[in-house]
Amino acid sequence: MKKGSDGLRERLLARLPQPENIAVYREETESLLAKHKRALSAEKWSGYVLTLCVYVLAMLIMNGWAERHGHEVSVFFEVTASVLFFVLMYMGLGTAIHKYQVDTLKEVKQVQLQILELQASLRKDESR
Amino acid sequence: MQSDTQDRALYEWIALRCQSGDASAFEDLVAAMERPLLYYATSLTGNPDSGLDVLQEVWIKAFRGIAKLKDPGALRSWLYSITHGLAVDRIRRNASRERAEAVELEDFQEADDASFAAEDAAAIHHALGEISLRHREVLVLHFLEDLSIAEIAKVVDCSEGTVKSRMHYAKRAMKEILSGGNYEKGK
Repeated sequence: MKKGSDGLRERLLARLPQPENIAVYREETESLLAKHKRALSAEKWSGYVLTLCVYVLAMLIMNGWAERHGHEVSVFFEVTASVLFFVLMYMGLGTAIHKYQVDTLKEVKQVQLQILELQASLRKDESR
Repeated sequence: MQSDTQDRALYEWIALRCQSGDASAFEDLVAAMERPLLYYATSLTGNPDSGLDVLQEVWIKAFRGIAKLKDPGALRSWLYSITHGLAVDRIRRNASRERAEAVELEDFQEADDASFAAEDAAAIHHALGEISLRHREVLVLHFLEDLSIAEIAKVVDCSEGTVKSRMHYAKRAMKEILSGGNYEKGK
């Protein structure tokens, strides 16, 4: 049984009784989603700020420690700071690459959908 | 077949739009999936109002989790598995899943290809309410979305063999009910 081909799916869905509190559900869902959208945005930005603060704080502490303990510790500090910096850059780059991948896939999928729609309309024309 | 490919491409596109932060994408997702998910949630919980409560939780979970969805092509089965998990939790909380918790005989048996296309939707809708929860959940997924056995197995969190077995017994039970036979739920 192919979905949509025999219409059973639609006929079954039409049997679904309309719940009494659908309007309340829609209103509540909308406001909950808006709340979660704000929360997600806040979590994202607070994550960035927290990472940056931890990095700066770690640098300040290590810098002070290196100044007190001379050249060898200073070299250790520079190496650690560089490694931390590259780890952060790597993570940022990974996120950016993923974002571009998603955007590209989205475009590809949109083109695929347009092609499929064109093929479907061509088949309709041919069958007439 | 073409329609199925088009549907899959469409849902994948919606998932990718959600992941890329398109503001209207989630509204499109809700518009496309609200009715089938509500039907599924209602057929599991047995009550449209409980179905709505489950659905509300589904949207919140989906909204928070869609960015992490690894395979956007699996959007529908992912949403159904969230719905399934939340509905089962709700049923357990309400302590009314006794019959579903009963151990069923689930020997592997190939599901037959019985088609219900010719039957009246009202009769099928009624018969779905008559069969046991475990049978109902696989059959609703089969009727609504034509998900593959592997996808249904993921949604209901069991092996493919178990799904085939449940599908077989579910179809047999449905045929029994539709032909006016005396079907017993626990069977």
